[in-house]
Amino acid sequence: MIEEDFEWNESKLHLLSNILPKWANDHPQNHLRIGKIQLEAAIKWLKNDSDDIELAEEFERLLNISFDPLMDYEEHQRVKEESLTPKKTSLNWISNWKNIAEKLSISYIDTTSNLVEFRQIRILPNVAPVLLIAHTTHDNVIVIYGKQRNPKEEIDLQTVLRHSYSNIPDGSLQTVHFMTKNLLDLYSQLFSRQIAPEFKTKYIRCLPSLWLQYDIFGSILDKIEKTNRLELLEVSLDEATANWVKRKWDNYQYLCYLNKITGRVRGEVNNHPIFPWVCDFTSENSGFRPLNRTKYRLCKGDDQLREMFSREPSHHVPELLSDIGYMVYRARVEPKENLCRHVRRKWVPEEYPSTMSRMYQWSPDECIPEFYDDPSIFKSRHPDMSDLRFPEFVSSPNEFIEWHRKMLENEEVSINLHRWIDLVFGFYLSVEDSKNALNLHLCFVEKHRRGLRTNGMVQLFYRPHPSRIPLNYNPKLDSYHLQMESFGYGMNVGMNVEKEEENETDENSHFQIFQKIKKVRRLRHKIYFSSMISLMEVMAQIVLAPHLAGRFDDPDHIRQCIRLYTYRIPVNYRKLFDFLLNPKQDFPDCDEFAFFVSIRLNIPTTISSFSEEFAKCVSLHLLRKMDVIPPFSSRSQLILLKEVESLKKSICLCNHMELCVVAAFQQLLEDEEASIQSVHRLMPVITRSLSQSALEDLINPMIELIQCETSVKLLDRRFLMHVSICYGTRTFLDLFLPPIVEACASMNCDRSVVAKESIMWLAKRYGPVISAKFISSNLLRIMASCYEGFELSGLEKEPKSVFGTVLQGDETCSRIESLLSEIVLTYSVTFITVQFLPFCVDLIEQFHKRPSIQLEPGLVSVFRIVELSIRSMSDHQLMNYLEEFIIQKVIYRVLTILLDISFQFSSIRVRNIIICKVCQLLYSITQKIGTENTRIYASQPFKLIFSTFSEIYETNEELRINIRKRSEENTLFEVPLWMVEDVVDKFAKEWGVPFLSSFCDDPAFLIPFVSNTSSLSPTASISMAHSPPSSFTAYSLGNMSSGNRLFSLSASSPINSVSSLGGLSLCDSGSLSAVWCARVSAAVCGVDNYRFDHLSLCNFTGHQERIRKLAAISNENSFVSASSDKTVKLWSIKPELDEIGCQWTYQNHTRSVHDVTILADNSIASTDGVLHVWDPFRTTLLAQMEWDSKEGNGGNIMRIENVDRHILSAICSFHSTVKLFDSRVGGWTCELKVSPGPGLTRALTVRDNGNKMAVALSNGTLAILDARNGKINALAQTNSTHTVSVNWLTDSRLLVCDADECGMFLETNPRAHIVRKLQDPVNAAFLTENSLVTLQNGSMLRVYRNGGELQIETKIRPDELPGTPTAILPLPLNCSYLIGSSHGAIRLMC
Amino acid sequence: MVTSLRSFEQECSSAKDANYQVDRCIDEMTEAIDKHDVDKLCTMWESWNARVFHSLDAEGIKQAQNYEASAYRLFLVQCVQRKNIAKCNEFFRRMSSLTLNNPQWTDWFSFPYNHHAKDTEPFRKYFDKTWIEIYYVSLHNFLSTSLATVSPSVIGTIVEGIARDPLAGDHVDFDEDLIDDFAVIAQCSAPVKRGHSKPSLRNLLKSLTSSKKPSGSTD
Repeated sequence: MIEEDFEWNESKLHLLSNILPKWANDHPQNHLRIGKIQLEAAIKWLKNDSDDIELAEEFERLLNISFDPLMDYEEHQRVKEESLTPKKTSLNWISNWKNIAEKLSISYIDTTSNLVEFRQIRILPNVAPVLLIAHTTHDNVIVIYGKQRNPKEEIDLQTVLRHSYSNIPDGSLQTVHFMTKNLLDLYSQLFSRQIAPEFKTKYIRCLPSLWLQYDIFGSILDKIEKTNRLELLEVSLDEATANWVKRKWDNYQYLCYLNKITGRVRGEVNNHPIFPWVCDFTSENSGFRPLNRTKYRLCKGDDQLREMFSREPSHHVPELLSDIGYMVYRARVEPKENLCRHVRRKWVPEEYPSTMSRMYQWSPDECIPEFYDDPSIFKSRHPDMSDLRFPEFVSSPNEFIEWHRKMLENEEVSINLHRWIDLVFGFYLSVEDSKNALNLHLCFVEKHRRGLRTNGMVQLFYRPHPSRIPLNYNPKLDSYHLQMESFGYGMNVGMNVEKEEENETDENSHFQIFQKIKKVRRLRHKIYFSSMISLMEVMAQIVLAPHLAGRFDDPDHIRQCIRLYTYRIPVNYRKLFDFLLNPKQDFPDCDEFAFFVSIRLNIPTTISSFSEEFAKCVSLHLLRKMDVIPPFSSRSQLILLKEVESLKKSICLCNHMELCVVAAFQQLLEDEEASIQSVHRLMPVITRSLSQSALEDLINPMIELIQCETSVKLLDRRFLMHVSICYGTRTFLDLFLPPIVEACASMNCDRSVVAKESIMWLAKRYGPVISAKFISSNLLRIMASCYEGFELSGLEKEPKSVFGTVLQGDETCSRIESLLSEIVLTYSVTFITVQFLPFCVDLIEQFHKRPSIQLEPGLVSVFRIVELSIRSMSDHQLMNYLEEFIIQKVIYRVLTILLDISFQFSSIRVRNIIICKVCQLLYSITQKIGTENTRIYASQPFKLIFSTFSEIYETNEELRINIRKRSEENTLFEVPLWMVEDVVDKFAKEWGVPFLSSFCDDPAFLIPFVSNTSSLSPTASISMAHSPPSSFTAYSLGNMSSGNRLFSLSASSPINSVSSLGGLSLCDSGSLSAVWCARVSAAVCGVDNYRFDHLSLCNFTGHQERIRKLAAISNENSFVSASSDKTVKLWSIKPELDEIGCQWTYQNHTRSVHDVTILADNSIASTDGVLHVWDPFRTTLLAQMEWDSKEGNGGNIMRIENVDRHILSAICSFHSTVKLFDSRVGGWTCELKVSPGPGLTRALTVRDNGNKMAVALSNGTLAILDARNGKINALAQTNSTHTVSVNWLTDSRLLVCDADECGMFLETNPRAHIVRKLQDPVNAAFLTENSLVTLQNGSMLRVYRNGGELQIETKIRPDELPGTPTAILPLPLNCSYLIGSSHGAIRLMC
Repeated sequence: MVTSLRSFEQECSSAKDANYQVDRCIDEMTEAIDKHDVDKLCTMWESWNARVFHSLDAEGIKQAQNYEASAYRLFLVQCVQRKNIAKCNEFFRRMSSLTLNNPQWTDWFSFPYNHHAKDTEPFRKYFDKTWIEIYYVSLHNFLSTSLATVSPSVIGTIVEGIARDPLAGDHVDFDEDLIDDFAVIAQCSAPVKRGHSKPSLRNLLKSLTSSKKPSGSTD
């Protein structure tokens, strides 16, 4: 097995030796602090009354003599005698422990003799690691395990088995194999160290991956201090039931017992004991609560329960005792934090019910035992919460408890309690029986739960519970006893022990002699022998978990269960468990035991090799998590790398144990240190090896991780590429893209830079339509988040000058800005005109309607968008949008809002900042368009500004500026004086006062402002020279630098602005053709996708003959085509080109190619009668398959279809079967018969990962089967004998296309019948998410939606596509269609 | 000697096609049912459970259990139709481990004595001929898919491990990045590509067919 050696430092050990004595003397808890780390520790004291013999046995198990299968005669005699006289041994306490430490290479401290021995840690994958054994006195022992165990990560095997219905569901034989293999490995790991413990489930811990670990010292530590805490469980369930029925036990005692064996422990919030409510507390004798319905049902009513059942996942009862219920019941005694955590975050003491009767009314949950036995629950520990009031008819909590307990024991309750037990512990829990009783619990139907189940209902009885014997019962009058006996309750099972029949008839029989020798041999190895037996018992408990009824590690009970429930035991295990039933059989030698068992059980090699690989992963994980190496050190990184590497190998091997690797992977995802490394390294292998459902389980943790501020590495394009391939483009765009876009706006510079790079790459990868729909639209929205809080850069709190106001968000925002402009430059200015500007106008409109704090940052981002739009548009385009959009709908509109006090802003500061920003924008616009144009097109905002200014301020005679008195109704915002000064000054400098005054109704107003500024004329004249009104048309690059001065000021990274500046020269280059631009605008405007405009976007030339089939990769930028000209061609869609040649041609086919399809790892399968599977990127042929290995009579493989990610199905012209090809195996895996009758296969279609396959036969039969195991679900007769294709429309509806007859919709459920006939025979059909695209005779393109509604009907004219259309492939994300024709032409149309 | 060799060859040739094997298994099973051979039927299923179905996933195991139960029920139906109640009893004796305490079988204990079984609910379908036909086709498919996924024997993997060239890399190297864009293909210089790729593919085909040791020069 695998061991990992390393040193854990010696100084830590000395440190421990110093603190240990104090810890031992103080108050030994089960953990020990050393620095920041908590170590799990156990301390036991040797007492006088400890059973020396048992202890000696335990020591012997740990310190075994070596195993020797041979023995000579003397030894034989010795053993024989020894067995007759039980030996007395003296206990060498200290030296025994010392030996053990030495043997297992565990560090050892003995403070009594000052002995400190340091040893390297050895990790056995299946043994819970132990750091240290220590003594502080002569009669104690301290065992220190690694880090404090995390209750979520290491679960008691008993708990796991109790909830086996969800942890090891019925039939998951592979899981059982895996756990058995674990046990066998454990056995051999210990055996090779000569340890042979008696295995018990209570000393086994289970990791979320179902990996088992054994605590070797558990049993000896328990034996040292004999505890009698399990007393109650000494009674078997049958006996307990009988005790209750016969009134030996009272109700309280029996309920306690039932709670205990279902693993409910007092104080565990989710697993606290449940007691029934029996009365409603309104008065002393108000009657009893009905016990034949749960409290939940009583509280909610039957209708609501039925309603819950009709929803997914269908159940009646979520839980019987919720954490909220528990906390509210115990509100007076639980700390405030707990209450706030579980009940309501806000602390409102009055919300907690104040009296018992209110409590009863409020709660949908059952009661807790405290109300029957603990008076302290009434006394409140919170100063602001009153005590819980007990009903008036009792005078104290003690009296209440006494009364309540009496109520519980009341005869009325006694004779009905069994009904309640049926609902809570009994047979109404089973999925079938619970439906009528409205008692299906959520825990039994919940799917896709994270981790192992540790709480929930546990079913103890599989038959109705017997009722209690009535109080005045006369056995003579009733046949009650008979009934009891017939159910087997109360019968003492253990009594009839078989009598040992020692018929030693023939002393000299050689057979007998040998039997005796064997017996002695077994005696000699009795420790090994009992170890083997106990191991098998653990296995049996795993297999029979649901029937153990909470009783573990009881050999008799296990054996009885094996006898009673044999049908639940898999065949191979039955033979093994025969050894338990009949231990007299010849056992294998203990050194061969593990091998013997694994052969006997026939544990599949896939499982055993997986578990060997996974063991490495677990041990490395343990090593890393033991806290013996500092986290984040290079060493720990090294171990992490190895761990990830071995997990990678395990994933490749995992097969049916996906659950296991997914759990391990999730564990890594949650590990701060490991998450990014592991997800990055494991992504490729996950993509290739895991199944769809396992992948879906991983989506959420993965997205959470991407959202972390620190996960920069995961925003890298190489990783994103894998994610997008793995989950498909649709999921990627919907779920993964938004967090990446958000990351662009991150304050963390690295993160936003990397995200920016990736977004640009994604925009180019997915093309203009998807970019517009998913990327740029999100970018626009996210921009606003940069300005949340309106933090100014620098130390200032308040804005000081209009044109120098720079916000902290400006830098991040400039990255998004440059992204947007890069998208515009790559594709087209259409983005601006149809998306950016409308977005701005829309946002302002929204703000106008309802000003809100959330939208305020949006306003600033709007200015950035406008500015970037202005820069990216050509002069001509700008002039088209300038007046109406930019000036009127944006700037003027915003100014009216800002300057009107009736629009509320969150603060004056924010309003000022926004005014500053809009002025900055206005300035840069005027710079771009020049003075003359400003006067003609953009005068309105200026007029508004200046008239406002003049209305607010007036100048007195000394040129002092004062606030003018205004009327009440005037709602103008008082713009601060510095702002007015700044604005007037700036523009006066640019243009000179005379020009500026032309915007003013009252030019005189300007004078005081202007005169405050020094030398205005020179600058004014210069800028005048720069922008002569007449030169507008020629106005371009040369002046840009000045026009952009402001921008480079505010955007602190000048490179960005330069790069976007550089783009300006390509202004109208936006390389897309007009048709593509139209597509983009249609996509943005949300024009419904169900239209066909007869526009041709691209022309793909190269094929000579008829196109037979088209297939695309999910990213919709690449596709393959199969043609009659014996080739398969690969194409890449490039929006900037009109005519595109193929990227590569596959020429190995010798006949015309019938069908082509793309597999999950993007290899391609094509058939010309012979199936070729090849990798287009490495141009290698992966497999070449004929239908039949025998040459000649093979027949042509006509159709191929994907079944799931790895499996391909194929049909052949001369056969009536379907063959499956597995890309992982690289060959045919099996052949499925389709129907009992004759008939050749014609067409097939598959849906839901192979769940449903439909095959059309030449005799008109249509077979529907499960492609994964060949189970035939239905056979239907159709009249179509020349079916060319079938397609699934919905779960039960098919499109059947015949060569000569019209296509038809066929409903298969419940009986096959034709729902509808189409107008024409269908030549080609393809189903996307919810629409069916068909090509029908006469070049008709018809698209149906929602399983039949005609959406598009149009004729493809020959001038659009040469020849007749023969193949079609919709690209749903791009809302376009690839259409191939009989002449070999392929067009991308929309 | 000669005959045994011949029969060996015959078996080899028939064993080549896994399909035959499945058919033969079902042949045997139907024969056992027709001949009322409880022992053979049960042994067959036991060995399938032990050797074939042991590496199925949970869903597969449940399917296998259903097919097995149906097989026994078809057997019981056959017995009752031929009025061979003794065989029914023999079956229940033999298979007590399966039927004892098993809720799925509780209805069936009374079956041999139920004269209207043909029209009563849990039994009806086992009398339906089409259902039986579909059952056998499905069983055939199930066996053949299970055989395909059965994990190799211990000895098989050991032999394979020895046979594998230790120098050759482990199976597929998963470190290879996945690609999903055909545009990258053209980037490796368009004009050269055609002349280059053809022979390499042919080489590969050759090496596949003639099973010569693959040289490391495939690029």
